[in-house]
Amino acid sequence: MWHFFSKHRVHESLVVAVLVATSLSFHAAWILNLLVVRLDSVRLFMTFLPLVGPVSGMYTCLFGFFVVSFLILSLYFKGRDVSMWRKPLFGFFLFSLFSFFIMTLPFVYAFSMMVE
Amino acid sequence: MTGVFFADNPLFSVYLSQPGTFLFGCLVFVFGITITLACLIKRDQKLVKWFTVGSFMSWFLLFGIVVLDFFGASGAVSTMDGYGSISELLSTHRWLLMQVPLLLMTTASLVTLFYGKELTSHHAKEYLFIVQGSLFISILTIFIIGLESFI
Repeated sequence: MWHFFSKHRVHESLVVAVLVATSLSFHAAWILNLLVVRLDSVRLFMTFLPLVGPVSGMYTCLFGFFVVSFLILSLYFKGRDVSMWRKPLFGFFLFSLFSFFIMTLPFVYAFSMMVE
Repeated sequence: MTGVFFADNPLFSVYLSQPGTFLFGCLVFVFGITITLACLIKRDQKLVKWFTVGSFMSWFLLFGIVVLDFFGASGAVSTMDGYGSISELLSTHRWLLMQVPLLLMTTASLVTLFYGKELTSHHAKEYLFIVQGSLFISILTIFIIGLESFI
């Protein structure tokens, strides 16, 4: 197993898989937070540990989402030339991080409007 | 010298009695080392290995802080009526922001582990920028979380 890491080669496909998985996880995190805040059914579903509340479900789902997406993407990118993805991926990563910071601001995700 | 790990010393006993504070102090210390390595990583390729070690240590410390916070939260809630109050923690910004350093340090650790010394190559400048940026944003987020806890 350690031979895999010690052998001199560039595992760019794995790096791309990690970065795409992280970017997607950021989007999943803010969407999940929005659903937990807005929908009671999702909040109840996310309460894995009753003493901790929906936080436990959110963190577990985020971890699971990251691992599963990383495994799928690493299989997808395996053996492919991913050098052309560097710049678009960099932009997508920054966009995901920026989206997460904006969409998790309390006055953004708690925004509501009464229409009469 | 008496006691285990200087536990009789009033200064150390404060930190040892609060593992979260102790871990946070360790995290700041490791972040300090890692950020120095991140700034020097382009000058010497050998530093990539130590940067990887520092990133993984930071990740484990962050994970430990989250786990301790979970236990602390469950302890606090057991003295209250239900978990309604703990759900309010979710709506606060701190619990959401804590996901950022966890994800970013995972990314930085795995990218440096997979790319190794080639991270300092010219073609990998985007990846190096992501690794360094992840570390800087993680530190910034930790300090924002610390500041928000005073509010």
